[in-house]
Amino acid sequence: MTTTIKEENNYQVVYFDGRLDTAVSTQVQKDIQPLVDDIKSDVILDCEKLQYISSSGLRIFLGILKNAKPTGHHVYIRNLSNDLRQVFTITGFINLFEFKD
Amino acid sequence: MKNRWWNYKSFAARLSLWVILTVAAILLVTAVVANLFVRDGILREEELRAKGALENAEEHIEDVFIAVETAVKNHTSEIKKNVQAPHEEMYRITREILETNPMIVGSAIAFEPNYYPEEGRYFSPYSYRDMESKNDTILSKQLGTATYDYPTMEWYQEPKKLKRGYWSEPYCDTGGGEITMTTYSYPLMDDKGQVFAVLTADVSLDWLSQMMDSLKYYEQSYSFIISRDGTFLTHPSKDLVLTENIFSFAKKVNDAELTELGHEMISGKTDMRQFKSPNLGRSFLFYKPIKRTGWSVAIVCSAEEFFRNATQAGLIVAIIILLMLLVLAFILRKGVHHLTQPLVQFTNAVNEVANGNLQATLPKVKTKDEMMRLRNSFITMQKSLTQQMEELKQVNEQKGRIEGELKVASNIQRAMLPKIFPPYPDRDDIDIYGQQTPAKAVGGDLFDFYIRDEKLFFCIGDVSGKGVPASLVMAVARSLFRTLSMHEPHPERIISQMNDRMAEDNELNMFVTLFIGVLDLPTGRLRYCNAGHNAPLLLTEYNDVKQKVFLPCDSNLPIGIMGGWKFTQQETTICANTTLFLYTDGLTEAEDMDQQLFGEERMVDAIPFSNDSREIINQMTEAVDAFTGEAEQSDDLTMLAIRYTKLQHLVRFQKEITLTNDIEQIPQLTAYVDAVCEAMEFDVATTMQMNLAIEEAVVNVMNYAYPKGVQGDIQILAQANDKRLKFTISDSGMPYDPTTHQAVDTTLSVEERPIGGLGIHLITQLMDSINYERKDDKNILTLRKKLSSTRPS
Repeated sequence: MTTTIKEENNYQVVYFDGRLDTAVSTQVQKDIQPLVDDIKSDVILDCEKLQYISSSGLRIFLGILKNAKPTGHHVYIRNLSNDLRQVFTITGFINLFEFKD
Repeated sequence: MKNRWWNYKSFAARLSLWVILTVAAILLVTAVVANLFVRDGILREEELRAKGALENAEEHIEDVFIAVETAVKNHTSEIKKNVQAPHEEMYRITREILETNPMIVGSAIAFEPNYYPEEGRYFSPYSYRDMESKNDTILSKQLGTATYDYPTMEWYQEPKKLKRGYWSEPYCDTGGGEITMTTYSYPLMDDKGQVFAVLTADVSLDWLSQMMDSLKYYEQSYSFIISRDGTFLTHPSKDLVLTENIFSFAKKVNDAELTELGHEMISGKTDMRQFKSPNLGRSFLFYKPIKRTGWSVAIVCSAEEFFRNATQAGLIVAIIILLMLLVLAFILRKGVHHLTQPLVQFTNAVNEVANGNLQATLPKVKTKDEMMRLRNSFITMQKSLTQQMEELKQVNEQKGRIEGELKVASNIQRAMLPKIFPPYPDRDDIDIYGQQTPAKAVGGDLFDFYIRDEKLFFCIGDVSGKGVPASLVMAVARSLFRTLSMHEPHPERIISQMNDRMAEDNELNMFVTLFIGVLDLPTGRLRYCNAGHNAPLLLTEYNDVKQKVFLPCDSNLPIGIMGGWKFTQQETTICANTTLFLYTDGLTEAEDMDQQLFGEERMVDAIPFSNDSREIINQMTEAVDAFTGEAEQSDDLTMLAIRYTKLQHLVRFQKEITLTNDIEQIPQLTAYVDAVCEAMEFDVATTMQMNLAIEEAVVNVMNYAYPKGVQGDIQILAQANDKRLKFTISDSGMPYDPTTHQAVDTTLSVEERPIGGLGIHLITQLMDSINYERKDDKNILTLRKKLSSTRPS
């Protein structure tokens, strides 16, 4: 599981690659902490290569969103697979995030 | 106008008729009484008048007779003096007697036979008036002859014998025309007192008739005189005079009354008498005697003539009365009609009201009398009717609304009860059928069941009372059962919480007898709690031995009575092919026409062993219907049959892994789940869902089952048959039931959304059932996934 943060066209883009399960969630949380602490533009969470997400992963997504809200910046999800979209639907997360495809 | 006035049914006509009849009666009585007085007065007056006339007649007759007697007596001394004188002297004396009294028509001096020997045996000088000559010529002749032997005659014998004057009975003289005569005879005696001659004076009685005719003072009245022996001396019918006497006449006409009258008359009485005259009809007769002659004079008057004036006056009065009555009738007709006119209008108004027009116009009444009171009553009636109609309308509307609402309530209530049978067509381990027959539109019985986490939650209850209040409590109880059982697998706790909730604010003291059971379908373990409800019946079949036994139940209070009551929970394991029959007391207490109860004994006898729960209930219904017959159902009747046929599933696949409570072991878990899913031939999406669910469940255990720093094992067993895949996750940690966590609200906004609680939510969403048990100091969580729907065909 790798997490890469890039700045593209005034967006902060986070690329997830691999399985975001509970075992790796602590590490992923650490990796994106700099972004969470300092959100200075809209954020895109790119899920093109995300194979799996557990509730711990969803909690990380929710954490980003909660931190972004007070700054007035948007958090977008990009390239979410249909299988994962089902998880978002079940949990109601599909109502919280904005999607950019 | 036709018939209105004389229509006897009309109030006006009857009133008028009564008034006229009353007035007519009064007038009639007055007239009759007045007439009687008038007639009496007339009678008295006429009597006086008749008496006067009779007295006059008597006086007149007396006068004549006295004059005759005087004339006769005055000549007796002269006759005595001249006895010795020539006989010519005697003729002269008789002539002189005639001359002195014109009433005397003849006079004779009849000497004793042979008194004068020279004259022969008979000597009676007689002078008489010649009736045929016009100048009152007096003729004389000698009366006595051999053929006229006067000494033997009455007029000679009687005075001689009596030695005083004697009036003969009147007789008819045929000598010179028919003249009624009477003769006065007077004896002449010598010095020795010997009668030597009788001096007579014949008096014509023609004047009597004339005198009596003058007594006639009514046209049809007449008078008559009878003699001493009753012979008619005068009478208008000349035929009667001297030929008839009153007695022979009475005999002829066969009139006893007349005979009696004759006797009274000749006896010398003065009186008045009513009698029926043959020619005058009803008449009055006044009579009086004439003492000198012993005669009786009578005047007869016709009553009709007598009272003619009175009758005429009566007639006039009658005509006047009739005219007055006609006038009265006319006035009454006008007056009463005028007075009762409003009644006709009231009648019309009432008819209008009866036809539905409550605002019918009433007649105007100006008089402050009964009519005004009637009118006021009418107005009150109209107002009150209008108001009542309005109220009735409202009540009806309200009633209709209530009925509609009751229907809705009934529908809502039915909707609360399970109504799709069989409820689990794809399950072959359980067969359920329930039925409710409410006594009223809405009932107070409830039953419910549902399967959660491979556990069958079911209940049956009976709310005290019937109808709407009971149904409301029933709805509350049913909701509480559903809500509380959603997170609580223990019947005792569900019942305790329901009891606490329902005991609060239970001002009406409604209570519910309730049986709650939780049947663990995989194992057949039945946990139950009975709050005062009828014990369910168990129908068991084991090795062909069939038994009907009641499920042993502790005695607990019904719920809603006392908050905080400690309910006891009981537990048993039921075998396959066992039917649990639950019912309300509407079954055991169903009454027949003689108010006999159906009872548990009949129920146990009637219930059949069957593989079909519907069949069991149907036969039970037939049995109870046959028992009650025509009797009305008095209580709600609810029955629920649960047939448990535990499947002996063949385990087709089995895979197990044991992990420690270390997050770092998640990849091993993922690999294990992937392997299971691959064996199940799941697609990628389902595999990911399985991973997600199992990971969440296992992470939960890793995080919470063991205290921090304590290592513990987690066993995960995957088993599958043709129908489902089952994961059993067990650990030896602290008792922890993840299913009691509050469900996550997925509709909350970002700010409100808690970070935690997602895991269990994901599990329940992704798996078909989740079931927690604490058994043998282990937390056992069972997750099931149906295969049929997920496997690609």
